Amino acid sequence: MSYATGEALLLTRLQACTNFSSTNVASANWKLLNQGKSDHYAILRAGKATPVWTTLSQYTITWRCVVEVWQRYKDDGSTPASLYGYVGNLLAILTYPHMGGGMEDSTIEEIGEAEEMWMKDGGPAWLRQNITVVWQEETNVTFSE
Amino acid sequence: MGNRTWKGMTVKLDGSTGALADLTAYCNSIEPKGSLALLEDTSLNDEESSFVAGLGGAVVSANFFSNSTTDLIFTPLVGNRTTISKTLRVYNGNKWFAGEVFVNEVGFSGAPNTLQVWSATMTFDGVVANTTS
Repeated sequence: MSYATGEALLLTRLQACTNFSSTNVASANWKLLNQGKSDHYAILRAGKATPVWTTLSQYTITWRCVVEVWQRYKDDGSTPASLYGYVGNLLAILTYPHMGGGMEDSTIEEIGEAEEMWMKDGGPAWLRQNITVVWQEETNVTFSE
Repeated sequence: MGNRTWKGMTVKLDGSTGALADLTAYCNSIEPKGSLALLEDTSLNDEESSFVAGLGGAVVSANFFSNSTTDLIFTPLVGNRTTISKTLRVYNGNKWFAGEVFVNEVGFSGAPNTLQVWSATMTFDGVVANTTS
């Protein structure tokens, strides 16, 4: 399954998670952060892809999609707890290894560190934590040379 | 001349219907290995060991990913006796190694976050032919 097809399935699955919807989940659209529709967002972007030859004539690409989970900074106490809770909500995708659409064996490869995203004049505006989702695409080839 | 890579290798084995099936796309390792039995005839007068050539033979160890094609071939061989040999042809980019084999050891394995794999040991019955086609 290609990256674009896989990301589209992942997007739909993420939008169905608790506390998320089409309002605050988008693909590569960081303008959402300024629109004030929510205080937390999940924004998808392509990660590294690694093709590996798995048989004598077949390669497998491990596609990665980085899901950036953003939480607007409000105060020191509730903001981190909210972020960690929303990340936990998104882990529900682990129960859908095919993402409802034939994706093969998807899983979460890594949940990154929580980071503070600073404003230009100092002070955090957002907290962010990345979830890296992986799936694989097998392609059989006939060598031309 | 460059050294050979895995590209250009081909593996064919009789399928479930007895027709030769191309399993190259499902094979992630294959190792044909020849052997020669040595009959020692060293005597008391000798200062070094000496041998007479015994029987020759060859064994192929291979791994195939589990799918609908390979499952049909190997599933019936687990725990069941068979007197039917299979035609095996392995191409290394230069020569075909071909002959009749008995799949005398076969099993499959799986683990979290991996593909299921059939492992098979196939012993040649008789001559192993080396041809260019």
